[in-house]
Amino acid sequence: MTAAHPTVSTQSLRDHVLSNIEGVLWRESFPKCDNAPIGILTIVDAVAAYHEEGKELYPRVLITTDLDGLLKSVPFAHKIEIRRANITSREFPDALKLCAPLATDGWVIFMEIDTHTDQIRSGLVSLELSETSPTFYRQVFGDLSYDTGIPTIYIANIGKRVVAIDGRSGGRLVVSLTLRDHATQAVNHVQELARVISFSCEDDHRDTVENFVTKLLETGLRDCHGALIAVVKDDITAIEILKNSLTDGTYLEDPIDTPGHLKNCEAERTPEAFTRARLFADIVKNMLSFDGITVFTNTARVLAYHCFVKDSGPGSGSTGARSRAYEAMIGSNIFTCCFCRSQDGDERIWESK
Amino acid sequence: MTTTDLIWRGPSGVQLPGDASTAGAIVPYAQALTVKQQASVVQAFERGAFDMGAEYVWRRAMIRLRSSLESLGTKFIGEMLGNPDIDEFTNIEAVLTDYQTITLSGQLGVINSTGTLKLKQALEVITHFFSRKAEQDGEELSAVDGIQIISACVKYVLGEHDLGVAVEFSKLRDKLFSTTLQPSDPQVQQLLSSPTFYVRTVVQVLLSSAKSGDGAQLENSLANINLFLPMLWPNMPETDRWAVGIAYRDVTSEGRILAAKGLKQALLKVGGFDYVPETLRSTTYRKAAKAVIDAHFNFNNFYTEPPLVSTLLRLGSTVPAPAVIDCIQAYLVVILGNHYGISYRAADLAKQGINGIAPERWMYYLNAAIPTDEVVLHKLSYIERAAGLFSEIVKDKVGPADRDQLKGAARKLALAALEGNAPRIREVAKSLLNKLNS
Repeated sequence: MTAAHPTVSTQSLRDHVLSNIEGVLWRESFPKCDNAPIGILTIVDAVAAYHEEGKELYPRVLITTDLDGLLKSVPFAHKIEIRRANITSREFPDALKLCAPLATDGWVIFMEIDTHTDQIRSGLVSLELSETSPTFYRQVFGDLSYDTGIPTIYIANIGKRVVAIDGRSGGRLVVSLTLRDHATQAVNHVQELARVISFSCEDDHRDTVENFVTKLLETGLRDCHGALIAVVKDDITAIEILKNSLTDGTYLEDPIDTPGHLKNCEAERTPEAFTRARLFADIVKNMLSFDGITVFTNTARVLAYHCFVKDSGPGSGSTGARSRAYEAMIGSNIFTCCFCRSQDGDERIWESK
Repeated sequence: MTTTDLIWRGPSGVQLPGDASTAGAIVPYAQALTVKQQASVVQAFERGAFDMGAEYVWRRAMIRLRSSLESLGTKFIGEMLGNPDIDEFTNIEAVLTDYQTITLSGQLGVINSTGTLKLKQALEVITHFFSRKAEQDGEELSAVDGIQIISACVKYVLGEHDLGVAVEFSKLRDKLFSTTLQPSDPQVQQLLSSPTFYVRTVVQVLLSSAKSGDGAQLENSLANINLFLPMLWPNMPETDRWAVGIAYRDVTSEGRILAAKGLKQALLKVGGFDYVPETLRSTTYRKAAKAVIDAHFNFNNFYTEPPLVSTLLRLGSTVPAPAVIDCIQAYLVVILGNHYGISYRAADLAKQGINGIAPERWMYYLNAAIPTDEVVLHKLSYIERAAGLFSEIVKDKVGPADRDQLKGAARKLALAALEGNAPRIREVAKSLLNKLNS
């Protein structure tokens, strides 16, 4: 009597994701290109947890069929072409490897596919002219973009081993390479948060402040492993209540006055003013990486970081410490807005009525 | 606002007696001068100190004009001049040159077009006679020149009781900021058939609001830009198209999202993204070119022009497209000079600059810019030597093969220049200048 062969069933995450990528390319009207889906798959796999020389990197990749056409309506674009090669599935990760260490501080990797010549051109592109200019994503995919009809996708890491592929048609494919239960992240709450943070800024500056804070949060949150942000009303009473209730935290003697720095940029228009704004923004981005809550006022000043609220305990229903802290923030009645971003990239936002 | 109220015109000045030819006959009409001040000017002329008397009157006139302009807000003035360094804290006396003061006053209806012309002529006289060169050459302001200066100042500035921007202009500006106009509005139709001068001013006013306005004013301004731009674009001068593109770049750079969206929408409607500068290089060139032009119309231009032309030249001959018009204009004003002469050192440098301009850029300037280049057209119309000098440049830059590329009004002007026909050059230039302003 022979032993029964064990039943083997295979679940191929690779095939599933590849099929979805093919779906995205079809939806975005990319011309047929046999090597592109596999090439993009390798990019997604790499971007999910990219390391170079032991350092974590978060390169963003734009794939399009006509870069110059796509950027025609953008006021300024700095491009550096790094290489040109035939379109093979190997070329995508090779180009990524050459460009990823350079794709920081506003630079995005581009890969332009030309199926007529069977060539792929890759390099770096940036759309930023100053500290206050809108982000790349906002100008090409967000509310400053318009439909050029040019097939384009944008690949970015949005959490620990989670990658989003955004298409110009508005669809988003989220690829989670963990097996944890991950809520599909369709909505970007960062702009909403920035709106609340800049709500009480002066009328003639609010637009600029909101844009700057959006940019600051997007880049800061991208580079951190989850974050908690709270917004408090900028008045003496509310801040007093905050300090008395949230005693475990690092309060700044002189809150970081973001609108003030931006006003200086506008008034002085000197490299020194822009450098100052950038330096303070860098500190705020680093604060977001700290454990605990970063506290903003609704006039975009940064009051405190590394703050801890008493959580409601394991009985609250939420399992993670960050989630419990988020619920405790809401329950504390101190804040006008609470924001939570998990390691996986899930975002939640709550605003008081 | 009635249908006739849209187009503004500055006042035609106080009526001076036709035979008023002395300071004693003219100065009493200067309402803005006290009795004592009037007496001082008359005495200066009677003593033969024509330069002192004329200069005093000139200064008072310029101060009065600037005071009128200041009522619109210094930030608005900065926007109209394309100078971001002028803001609400700027002392307008310190930054506004006499030439800019007169030009803006004419544009905004503080003075009429004749007043603008007369005051610019007076400016040329006064800057010449108060220059180091005139002093070195022993030239002095004569009684006739002095009377010409004080006559223009009294008639158009100091004689007026209330000197302010044209009421119609103020009303129009308020309306542009407070309401979203409709295509069927009679004011819209009237503006569309107005001379370039008015259209240009309205576009500048709307762009200034897009760059610095907020709230409802900004929303209305953006809506009105989106209304006007598609209608005006086909006939819009190149400099104004670039102004829209540059404004879009500037608001995007500053993160003014609402303004960026509005201007982007407008540019999408007209396919105007070719007029959005790709880099900031053009800003540097334009600033340098503007400095040359400001110096040309200011005191001691004979000495101040050369280093500034040299600075412009050093930026390089590959002039970015958005700056081509300003750079060529700057080189031309120096080469053509003013009524009193040319700064030859600066002119030699400017000729190098013109020689370095690529042929296709020069053709672009001839075809698209010179028909609306008020500054150069004015020189070609009224300065005797200018037509001949212009003719030499055109013969040098326009080859036989290029003639077929010349279009419309530019063709007439260029052909006259290629033939060396100075009277015809003046005639065409005057006709183009009149078309801009009437």
